[in-house]
Amino acid sequence: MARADIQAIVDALWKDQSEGHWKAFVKALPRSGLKYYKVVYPNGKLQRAQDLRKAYAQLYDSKQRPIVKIPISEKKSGAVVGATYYMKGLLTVNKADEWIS
Amino acid sequence: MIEQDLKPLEEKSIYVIREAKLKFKNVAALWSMGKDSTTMLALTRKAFLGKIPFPVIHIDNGIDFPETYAFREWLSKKWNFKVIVGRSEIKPDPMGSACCGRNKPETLKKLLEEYGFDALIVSIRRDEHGIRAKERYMSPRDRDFRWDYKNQPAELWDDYASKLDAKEHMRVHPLLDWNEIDVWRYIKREHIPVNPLYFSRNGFRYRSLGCTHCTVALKSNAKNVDDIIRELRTTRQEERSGRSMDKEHEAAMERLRALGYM
Repeated sequence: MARADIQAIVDALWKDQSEGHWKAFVKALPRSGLKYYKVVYPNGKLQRAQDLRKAYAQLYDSKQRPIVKIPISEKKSGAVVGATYYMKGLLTVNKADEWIS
Repeated sequence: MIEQDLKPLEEKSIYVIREAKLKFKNVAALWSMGKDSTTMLALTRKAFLGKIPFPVIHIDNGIDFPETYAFREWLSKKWNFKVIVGRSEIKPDPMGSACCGRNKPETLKKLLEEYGFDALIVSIRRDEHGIRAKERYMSPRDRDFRWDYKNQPAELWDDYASKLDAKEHMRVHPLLDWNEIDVWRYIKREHIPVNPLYFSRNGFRYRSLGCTHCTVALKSNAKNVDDIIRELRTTRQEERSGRSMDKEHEAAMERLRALGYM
């Protein structure tokens, strides 16, 4: 899958984290060349649903080059819930210089 | 780290799991897809001739590691057991992180009401945390999930408490006496599958698994079970040193457990 195609799916996901957009991402993932992920919570805290909406996952290719950022939340019947389930198949990158604690 | 004889540990755990199934009407097991709860499921299969005769509960806050979700689906198919997924919400909690705190016990409370479970098998170990050392094999929780650790039933001659008042439930802890290294030695001996996050990649691995927010990878080159056992024989680092929830407040874990946290 071309990078432009996955970028279009991710752009749609950033606009609206609906189940339909997440399913499109899951369908595209195996052919996207994306292999690794790192979840980032910008201020390090997760104390309310708003923090979850700001959090994202940086996705990398097989050579651990950063490719695209995706949200990690889903809008479900008005509520914001976690959505890392849809990232199944990706592996944590564990890059030493990037870990935040 | 003290290494114990695995045979009496295994026998005791199987005895406790069988006692729970015998004494309670509606039993369930909590599974976090970590090494301890997966070992508990392996022990349950041994206790009941290859089957897991009760449902397995995963309290899911939606931000677990993708590898953890993949492992959940793979192992539940391979070992053929039913998983009940309870979705916990991300909402403000003065006790600490919004992903755990009161939110997980609240979800568990709803599941207990919905399914009517009167006993929950939980894979905690005494060596993990000071407050967990105060647990019994069978430890009652009141209708509000509170744990009165200063007033627990005595456990003499392998005779465990089983009487409960309405809406109370029993927490059953078959792995209480195991050490971290015993669990890994048993995983090796029994070829138990484990979450791949435990193995080192790029010089880091997870030693205790939570969600993507509260868990930090620790420096390690242990790429397989043998490496992990070797590492544990010499390490001076605490098992839960990569878990932020243990550090947020003084005695946070004690307060969380008193409120029903696992």
